[in-house]
Amino acid sequence: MNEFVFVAFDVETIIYVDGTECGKTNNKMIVETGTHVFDLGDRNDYAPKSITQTIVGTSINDPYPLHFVKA
Amino acid sequence: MRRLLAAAVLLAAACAHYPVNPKLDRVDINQGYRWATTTIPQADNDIFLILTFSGGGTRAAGLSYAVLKQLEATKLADGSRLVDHVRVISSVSGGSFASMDYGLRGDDMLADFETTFLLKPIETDLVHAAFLTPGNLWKLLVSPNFHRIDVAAEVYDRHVFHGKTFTDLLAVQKEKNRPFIIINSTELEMGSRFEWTQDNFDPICSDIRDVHVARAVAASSDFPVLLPPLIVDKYDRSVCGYKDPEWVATARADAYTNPSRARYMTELEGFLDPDRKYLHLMDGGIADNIGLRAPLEAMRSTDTFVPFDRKEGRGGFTLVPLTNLGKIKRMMVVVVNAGAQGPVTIDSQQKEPDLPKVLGAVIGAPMDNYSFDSIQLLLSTIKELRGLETVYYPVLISFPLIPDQDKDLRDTVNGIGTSFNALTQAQLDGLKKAADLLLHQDPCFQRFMHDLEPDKNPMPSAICGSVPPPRP
Repeated sequence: MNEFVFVAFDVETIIYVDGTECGKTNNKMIVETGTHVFDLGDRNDYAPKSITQTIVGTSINDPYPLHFVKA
Repeated sequence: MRRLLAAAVLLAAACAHYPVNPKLDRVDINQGYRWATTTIPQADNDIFLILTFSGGGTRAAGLSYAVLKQLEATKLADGSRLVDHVRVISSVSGGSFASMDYGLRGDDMLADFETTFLLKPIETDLVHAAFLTPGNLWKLLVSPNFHRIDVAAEVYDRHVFHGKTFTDLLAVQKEKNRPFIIINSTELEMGSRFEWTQDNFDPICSDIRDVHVARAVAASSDFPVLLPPLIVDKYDRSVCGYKDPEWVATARADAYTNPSRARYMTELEGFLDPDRKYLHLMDGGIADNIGLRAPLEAMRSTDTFVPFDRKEGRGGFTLVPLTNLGKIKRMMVVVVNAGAQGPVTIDSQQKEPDLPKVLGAVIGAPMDNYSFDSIQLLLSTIKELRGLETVYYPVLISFPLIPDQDKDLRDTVNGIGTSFNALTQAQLDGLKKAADLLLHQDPCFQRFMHDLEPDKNPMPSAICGSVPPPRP
C-alpha cells in the first residue's frame, strides 16, 4: 500500500524517511502506507528536527502535507 | 595396512563438512555483493527493466533464457539492445541457473547456455555424484555435516559456475554494468524469503564475498522432500555490530494500517533471534515461486534490512528514491512464469492418489496460488504508484496466455516436466517460440515499445492496464 506526501520547506533539499534518503522537498513523493519519521538530514537550519506521522488514505491529487520551517 | 588405510578413508569421510559461510567482522555498506556496491543506483536508469524468473526446473531456465534472447534481439534507435537495460533479475529455483549465469557471463551466456546447460543432463550428473561416486557416497553415509544438497552445490559449482564467488559476480557487474542478481531461497522454519545478497547476510553477520554462487543456486532450487535443506551458519549480531534500521521503530505500530511492514519486522527479528544458530534454506519457490516479491517490495517500500548510511548516501535495495527523484522514466517488469498445467492425472480416476502425487499437489497448490496473488499485487501496486514521473509496464510471460490458435505449442511447453533433465531440441524450440510469442503479444510490451519509439511501433490496439491509451 502506497501513499503520497508533499514536504514543504524554504529550499529544495533531501528528505529522509525512516533514515533513508527518499525524495526532495517541495515535490510530491511516494511512501509506503504507515508511520514514518521524516527529517531533512544534517542541516541545522530547520525545525522541527523530525516529524513522525502516520500516512494513510492519500492520493496523487491529495498528498499528505508536511511542513518544515527555517530555524 | 589395508585396515589402517580404510580407517583413514573413513575418518576423512566422517570429517567432511559443508563449506561454512564466513563471519562478517563489521557491517560495511561499501562491501560485499549488495545493491549499494553495484553501479546501478548511480547509472543512467531512464529505461529500467526488471526480470523475474520462476521455478520449474530446466523448463524455467529455458524460458528465462529464451526471454533474455528476445530482449537481446530487440534493438533500440540509439543502438542499444533491450537486454542492455536490464537492471535487476530476481529468480527462484530453475530460473536461478539462467539469472546467475547471465549475471556472470552476459552475452557469452546468451551464446552458449543451450549447450552448456539446457541440453545437458545435469540431473544425471547429480545422481552420479551422489550415489555412484564412492568418495561422496562415503561422506554422505558417515558425516553428519555433509548432505546431498552439498553434493548438488558441488556439481553446479564444477559443471555450471566454475568456482565463481560473489566477489567475482560483483566484479563483472561493475565492469560491464550487469544487472543486480537476486537469488531467492526460503528459510524453512520461518517460511521467509532469504536473498543471497550481503543485504540479507548483514543481519546474520556473515560475509558473502567468498561464498560460491553455486551454493546460492543450490539453495534456491533445493526442492522439498527430494533434497535436505542447505545449511547456512548464522552468527550473533554482536559479531558484526548489526544495528536495527530506523523503520523498525515504527513498523510494529502499523499492524493495522499496513500489516506487511509489521510482518517484515517480524521476519527481521526472526533472522536476528539469538536462538537461531543456523538457517535451513530450501527452494525459493516455497516463499515466492515467481521471484517477484523482492523487486515488488523495492518498488513500494524503503524498508530494507540495511540501515541507510547517511554519510555514504547508500542503503539497501529500494527503488523508491530513484522513482521519487525522477531518475527512472520507464520501468518494465517482465514476470517470466514457467508454471505448467500438466495433464489430468489424479482426477482421471476414482482411486486414491499415491503419496508422491498428493505431496506434489500439497506443495504445488499453495505456490501457484501465491504466485497469482503476487501478480495481482504487482498490478495493484503499479496502479497506486502511478502519478509521478515513472511509467510502469508490467509484462506477463505465462503459458496459459498462449492463444488457442497455438494450442500445440501450449501443450508442448506445458508437457515439459519439472526436473533438471536435459531438454530435447523440440522442447527448447517450443520454449523459444513461446517466449517470442508471449513477449510480443503482451499489450504492455507493445505499449512500452510504442512509447519508446512511436514512429517505429504503432499504438497497440490492446490496452495495457497500467498505461491507458490517450482519450479522444
